[in-house]
Amino acid sequence: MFDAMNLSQTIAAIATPPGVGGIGVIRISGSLSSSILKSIFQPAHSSLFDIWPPQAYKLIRGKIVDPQTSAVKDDVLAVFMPGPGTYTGEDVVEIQGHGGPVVLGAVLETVLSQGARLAEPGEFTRRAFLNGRMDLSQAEAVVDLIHARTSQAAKTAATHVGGGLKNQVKGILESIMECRAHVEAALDFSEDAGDGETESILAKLDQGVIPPLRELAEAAELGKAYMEGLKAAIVGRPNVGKSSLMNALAGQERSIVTETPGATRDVVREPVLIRGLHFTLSDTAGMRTSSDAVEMIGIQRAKDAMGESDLIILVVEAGSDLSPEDQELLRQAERSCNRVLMVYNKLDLHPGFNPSPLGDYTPVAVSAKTGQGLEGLRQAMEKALRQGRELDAAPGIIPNLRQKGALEDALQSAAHARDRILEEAWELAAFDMEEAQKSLEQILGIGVSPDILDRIFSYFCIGK
Amino acid sequence: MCKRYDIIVIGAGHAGCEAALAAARMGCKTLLTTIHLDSVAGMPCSPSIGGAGKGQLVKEVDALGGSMARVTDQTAISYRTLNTRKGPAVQSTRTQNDKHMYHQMMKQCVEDQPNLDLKQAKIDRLVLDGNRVAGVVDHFGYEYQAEAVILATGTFLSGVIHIGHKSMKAGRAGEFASYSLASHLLELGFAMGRMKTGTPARVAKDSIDFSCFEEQAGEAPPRPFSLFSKASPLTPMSSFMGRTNERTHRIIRDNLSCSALYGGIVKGVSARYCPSFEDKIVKFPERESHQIILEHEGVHTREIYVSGLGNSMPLEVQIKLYRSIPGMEQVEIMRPAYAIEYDFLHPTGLKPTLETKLVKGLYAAGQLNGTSGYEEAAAQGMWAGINAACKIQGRPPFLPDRSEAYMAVMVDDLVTRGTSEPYRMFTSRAEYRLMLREDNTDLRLMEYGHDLGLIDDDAHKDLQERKKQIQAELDRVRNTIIKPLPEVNQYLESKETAPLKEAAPLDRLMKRVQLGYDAVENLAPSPEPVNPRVSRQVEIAIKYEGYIAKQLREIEKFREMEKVRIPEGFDFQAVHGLSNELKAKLGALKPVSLGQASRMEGITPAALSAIMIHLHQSKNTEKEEAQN
Repeated sequence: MFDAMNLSQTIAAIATPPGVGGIGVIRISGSLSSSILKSIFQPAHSSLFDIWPPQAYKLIRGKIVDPQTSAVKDDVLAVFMPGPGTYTGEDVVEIQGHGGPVVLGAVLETVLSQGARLAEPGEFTRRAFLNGRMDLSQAEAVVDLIHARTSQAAKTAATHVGGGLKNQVKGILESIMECRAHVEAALDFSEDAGDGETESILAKLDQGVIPPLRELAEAAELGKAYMEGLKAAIVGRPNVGKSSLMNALAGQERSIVTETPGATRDVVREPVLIRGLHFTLSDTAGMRTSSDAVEMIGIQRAKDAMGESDLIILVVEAGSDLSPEDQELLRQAERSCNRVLMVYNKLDLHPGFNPSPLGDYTPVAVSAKTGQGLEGLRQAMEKALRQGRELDAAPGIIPNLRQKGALEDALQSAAHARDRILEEAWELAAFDMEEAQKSLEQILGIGVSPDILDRIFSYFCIGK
Repeated sequence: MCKRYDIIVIGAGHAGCEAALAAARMGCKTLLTTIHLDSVAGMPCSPSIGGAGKGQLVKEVDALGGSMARVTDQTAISYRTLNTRKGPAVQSTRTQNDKHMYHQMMKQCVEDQPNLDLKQAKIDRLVLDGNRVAGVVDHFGYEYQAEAVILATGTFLSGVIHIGHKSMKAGRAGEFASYSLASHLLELGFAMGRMKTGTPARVAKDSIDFSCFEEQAGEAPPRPFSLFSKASPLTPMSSFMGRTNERTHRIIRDNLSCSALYGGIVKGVSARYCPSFEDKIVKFPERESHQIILEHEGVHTREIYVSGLGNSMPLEVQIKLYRSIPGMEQVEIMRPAYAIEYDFLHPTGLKPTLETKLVKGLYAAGQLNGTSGYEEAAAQGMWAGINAACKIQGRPPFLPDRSEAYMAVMVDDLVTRGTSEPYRMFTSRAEYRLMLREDNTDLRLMEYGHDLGLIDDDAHKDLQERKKQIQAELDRVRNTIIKPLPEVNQYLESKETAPLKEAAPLDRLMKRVQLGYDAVENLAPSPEPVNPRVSRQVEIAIKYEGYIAKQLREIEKFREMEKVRIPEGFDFQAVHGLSNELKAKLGALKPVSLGQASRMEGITPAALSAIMIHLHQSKNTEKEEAQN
């Protein structure tokens, strides 16, 4: 966490509040800011980039493009502000994109892939005063702000770290501390306390620590899906009505629908809200062997989209059993993703078609044209996202992303500790337990760790 | 009429001896005073040196050129390594010693030391020149002048011993206490508190039936404490383990009101880690039995130390108590157990060098600072002695940090957080425990010792050579590939680990739980014979690799905080945004770095950021002023 003391790294974060807004801002600060922008930014008018770095304080329109995959992430406005006259005193780039968490997250990931590090909470402000960007009154205002944030953070910690999560983490922390106390006693007082009871420590880790941590980390994964939505790819053989289905779900004409098979040659993405949950639908090129080079590229992209998806909606035409090609597609889908929905489309052409269950699948029959069966598909999509959990039942238990990271770290440390206990490397087990303890203390906001400076600034919201 | 010294050390216990020896060896003309010359480096409690965390301290003192480890080796009658089945970081050496011989050898070591005078004198007060120490005056009014004075008075300040409801003034049983010096320090304005400790009875060897006890022999061959000891000269002697029983416990319960500790007489705070037997019975009523150990006090005495049965009961209860142990039905007590209360200086009044903040040139070390244990005392003595000498000689202070030595962890804990009970070293107090091992004290500290003039050139040359060999052997092992030959797999199977299917680097093989440097010796031995101290380091560096890397990263971050220095005279009152309580606390403790401030009790993240902003602000202001 003292990484944050290192001023030589370039940092980036989403600077606008979380949630869906009109626009969202990504802020980058540090010496790499402008070169990162250059590598991911495709200006609307290429002449703008003849001069580099771009003119300071001038908004430029363009696209954020992933340099590896050439995938377009968002249409944005970008501005370059050279140091030292900036908020942080360093070169700063701000990218204004579309406000949704999925889109902003994708842009941020692209920035991070080019050598920036995710900023710690409050790190921009810390840099501002470490770089002498504040006079006495401003510095004092920062101190007051920290005070305010500290007490506010304490209050929100009480309400925000929802009661359920807090109590669970406290309980796990308690169990780890107990394990560690046993281990430390065996190290420092082996003559009084004995050499430590491997069995009872393992039992405690196996009951009170590792499984609940794993469960919380999984809940966090789910919480992430809940907040950011799932990526769902619509795949199938040509002309089964993928684009029509996409338009039906999105409620608007986005994909071009034609009678000609192979009309969709690139991946078309569309965010939709289904039963209160966010999905990003991708309409993909139909899968078939083709001699058309452009179509083949589209098919390759469809395969890539399957690989990136959280959910694959495999569309086949109603009225008949799965063809060998469909079966091959199903196998591909299962290899790419652990959530696959089977959908029979064109129910309007085959009235009365009733799909029989297929292995583990309960296929859904719809007509994208008439809307028949769409509600059933929406339900199935929701069910796939929830994975059998009742999200609404305990919203307080779903950890946010920072908490999720801490939970995963704690889980990893606890698992290491378990391995070390088995090897009777007690002093290493103690080390791992302390690491797990520190991770959990980050969630609860207690504990005196030497990483105290970072704790200070964790009271600041990311970005400022 | 008075004599001039550079440094005067008051008290010739474990702290005082190391302080005086270090100062004299660094070239300072030094005087060491003691109330009683026959008690120099005495062991008033257990006849034992070392233990978890403590063994590390002794070896650190040794690597810096101190004497405790060497004298321990000369007088040890039994050696044990604790935690041999656990990793190297928590293995600690402990010895049983002939306490009379220990005293004699250490006294001789002090007497033999050039530049060092040893005198029997009871010091009653300091001589001050303004707020600077200038000397000391003894009980008879004789004055000694000095530029620095080190207080190492142990339990002697206002010492009172208790046996039942009978109390007497004493620094230890049979020795004068020091009341005048205590009240003098109080008058000077030092913050002092009261602590309690105690010791069990010594009993006659011939009155014990040892067949009722389990014999515990020491390790053979012994592993000497000191890097400079070849062997230990004395014939080994065993200890004997037994247990208390329900009758023993009932005697305590029935007579609790007679106890000094529970009869309302003792007010001082005692250590949770070193409970008297009354405490064990009252605080753990469900325990049916406690362990006791009979230990020899020396080769030429029949006194036996009864470890685990310290108490403050009247003598007649003590007799019943000891005679309730099977095998001790006829036991004769030679010296009764007793509790002792004494004054200690709140160590938060000390700078990291152990110099007092109140009086310049005055240092404090050892049990006086609220610690317990011979080893803790010796390490502080060494620290204070070196720093007093450095100051006089105009050299930078000796301040290794928490990632370098247990002694640094202890001193930092004491001066930053203070202590409310006698402070004892534990390995768990060291956050960089994996780095602070008994086996690498030379690599951690000997360079400092040599720079200070406490380690001679030969030892230093050896160290350099060893460092080179370790690196060379590490490189060789890391660059060695082992092929899956039949003899290789035969060896691996004999070690109950999986055979190789394809060639593998030797260091990766060594990381397997079942293997160690043994694998190098069997699979790819070095052409040159490898010193065991070299192979040990190679083994640890490889087996601990991932964890050591993690600790090194933590240490780097820790040092960033230590590097943010808070200048002397920094005005905490002027820091905007600090509560009055914290202003007062910080103003009193005067932390020297943001790191030290962060370890203070009650400090908040917001307070730290306020200090940091103020520090940056004053720096900026200075710069601007310099420019104008």
